[in-house]
Amino acid sequence: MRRGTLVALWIIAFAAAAVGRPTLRLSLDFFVNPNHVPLVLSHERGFFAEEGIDVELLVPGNPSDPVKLAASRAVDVALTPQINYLIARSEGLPLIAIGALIDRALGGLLALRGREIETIGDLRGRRIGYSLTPLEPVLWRTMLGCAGIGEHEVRLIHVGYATMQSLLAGSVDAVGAFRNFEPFVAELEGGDPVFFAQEEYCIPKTYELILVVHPDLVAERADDLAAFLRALARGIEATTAGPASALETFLAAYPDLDDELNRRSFDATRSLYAAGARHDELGVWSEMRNFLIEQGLIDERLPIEGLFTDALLPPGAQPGE
Amino acid sequence: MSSTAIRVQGVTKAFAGARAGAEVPVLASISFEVEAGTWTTLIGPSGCGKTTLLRILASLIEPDAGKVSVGREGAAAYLPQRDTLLPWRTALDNAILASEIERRSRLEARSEAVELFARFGLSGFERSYPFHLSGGMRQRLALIRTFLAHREVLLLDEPLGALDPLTRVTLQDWLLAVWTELRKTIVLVTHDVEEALLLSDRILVLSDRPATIARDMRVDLLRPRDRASADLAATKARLLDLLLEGR
Amino acid sequence: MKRLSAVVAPIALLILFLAAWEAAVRGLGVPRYILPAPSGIAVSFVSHFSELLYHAAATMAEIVLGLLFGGLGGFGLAIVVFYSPILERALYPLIVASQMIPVFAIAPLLIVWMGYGLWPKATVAALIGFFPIVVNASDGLRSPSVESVELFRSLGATRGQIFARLRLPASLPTVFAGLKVAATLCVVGATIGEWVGAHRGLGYLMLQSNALLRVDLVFAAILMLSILGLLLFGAVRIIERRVLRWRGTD
Repeated sequence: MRRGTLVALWIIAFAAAAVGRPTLRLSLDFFVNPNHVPLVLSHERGFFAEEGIDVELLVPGNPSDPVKLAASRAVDVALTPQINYLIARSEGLPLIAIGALIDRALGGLLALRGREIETIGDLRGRRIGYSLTPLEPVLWRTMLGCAGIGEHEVRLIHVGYATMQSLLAGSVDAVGAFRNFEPFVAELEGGDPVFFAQEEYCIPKTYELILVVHPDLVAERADDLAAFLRALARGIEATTAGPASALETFLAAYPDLDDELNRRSFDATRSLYAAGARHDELGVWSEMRNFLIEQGLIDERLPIEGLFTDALLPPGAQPGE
Repeated sequence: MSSTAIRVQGVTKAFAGARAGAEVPVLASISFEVEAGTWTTLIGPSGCGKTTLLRILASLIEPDAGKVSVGREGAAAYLPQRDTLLPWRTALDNAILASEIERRSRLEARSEAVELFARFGLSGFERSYPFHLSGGMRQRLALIRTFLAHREVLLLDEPLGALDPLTRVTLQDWLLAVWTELRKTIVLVTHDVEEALLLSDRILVLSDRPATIARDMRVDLLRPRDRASADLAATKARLLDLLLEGR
Repeated sequence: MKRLSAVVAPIALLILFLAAWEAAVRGLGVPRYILPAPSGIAVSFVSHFSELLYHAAATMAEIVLGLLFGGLGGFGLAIVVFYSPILERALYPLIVASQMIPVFAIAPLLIVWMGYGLWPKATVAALIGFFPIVVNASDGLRSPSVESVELFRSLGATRGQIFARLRLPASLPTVFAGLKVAATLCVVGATIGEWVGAHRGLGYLMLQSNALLRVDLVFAAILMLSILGLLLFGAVRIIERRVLRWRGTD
């Protein structure tokens, strides 16, 4: 009689576990910001739940952690810039890209018009501050070289994470920045920002935020990952179609971010999300790979095959659209 | 020629107690006078205020009532009970501390000290640090320092208390010899009854707190005194009775 | 014989520790971009030696300057606080609170004021290092016994003489103890200072290598930093032994 009760309890426990949804732990690239609205939306509006999964959003300690965490399977999915991912792959980290959140470049150089800087050429002889090393110096030198400014004609200074403070205080004349964030910081501080987009100055097109996983996960949890990408694609579509309500949902979940800066930032971001979470334009990958090899940031032996897979993407728009 | 080196009239002192408002009376109307060049010893139960009286004589603390005069201003040299040798100075530099503070000639002070080192059996240890000296040697050094202060009155707080009996005997003889030669006025505080009888011209017995002078006795034994003499033994017995009586 | 065992024992322990580390990394299959094996770090250290030396020179300069200013500043502060009860009450809470401020909060401030050279890092190092010195120097100045002070007073010493000839030398043992702690803290301080704005130094090298996922180089830099710390600590100990030789054998 008692043994029967025990067995019944075990059965109920297993059943309950089966009913619980599988969880995907996802490391963001940085602190929560408007880049992440579709993710938050899918979470808050139950898109993930409807696809049968739970997604746990984690904030990393520093920007180079996400790829490490995904490669060592401490997290399931990592959000990271394409360039960081390629560098990680070159170092032999076992990863593969399964989709994108933002499928164009966000980076570039930010300066203030009040310092007599109107065109990129005005940066000749000036000081440029950067925080992500050694990546940013490569990017900015390429941009400046594109505009005809030689390496020795500018001073590149590592300013740590205090890029905006350095710029506003005048310690440097330009800093690396995201077009959908820092310019608004400058505006709100009374500055008049001028932004030089990286893709306009010889930097190949890039997927600014992609999703990467350990290759084994593609086999082990294909269904969960596919479900995740379907829900994310829905979230992206919902955000693009209904930005105002998307923002409200986002701010309801993160009330601390409800300020003018984040509102303006979202406004600039809402058209930049990757439709269908697609990241599969081969040209984008091969050009960026070649660029990084030329700049000595990655090993030339990094194969182009296996950098990304479109197998888990929801069916929809073809690459290049 | 004798003159009064120390005059103490009606000195009273109390310290703040553990609880607020509670005062601990230590000295109750102490009066006595000391002739120049004599040796006076203060003896009494532990904690009865002997050190306090000495510190008042050294002008380190003020009495609550009464008057004290010790020769001219700053006429006393004080040797505290605890070891106050400066460990970072050599023995010689410790000895000449007074001359440094008074900005006298270092050279003179040093040569004077070297002489006393020889007299006190510390020759060869001028450059040693106190760490390397035995307890007896450290006390000798402290005494040398006190002498080199060139004061008329010496106030010595249990200088031989921490020493083993053999060293104590040796130092007692030394002190006696140096005093006989220099004829300073000495006020000694000690526990050791025999020591008091051996060295002093006069013994002041203090009572328990609040201390008064329970007995003021002259030591009439002829110098040089013999530790083994029957007279000394008898006086010692009487003194001990006195002390036990007073409790 | 004692000398020999004093050297052999820590080396033996170190070898044991390194062997265990190597075995653990290989046996447990820890990826090298998370935690490299000692063998990998050693290879990195040797192959990048001149680069490490180049960065180490910058960091060492920051550390030494930081220790110098932290030491002098801390000692000066201790003297002020000792002789003025009013200033003590006013300053002590501020001194303690200063240690709670995370470096990343003030470092940008320093960089705006002092630029990107040596000085902001030395300042960060000094800010972190001065605290044990203030505390220890304060204790040290207080350490002479009542009897010692009374001895000086009975000889007619002025307050200045009591300070110069009694309190100052009496405080040196505790000050040196504080200096040894401060030395290690200054190493950390200089490194953190570099994380917030530098183009040279071991902290900067660590950041750069980490971003490139060259974790073996990060650890090689840590190894170099440890060597710097040991050298500095050793130097302070040598000076201490000379200045405090009156203490007898250690």
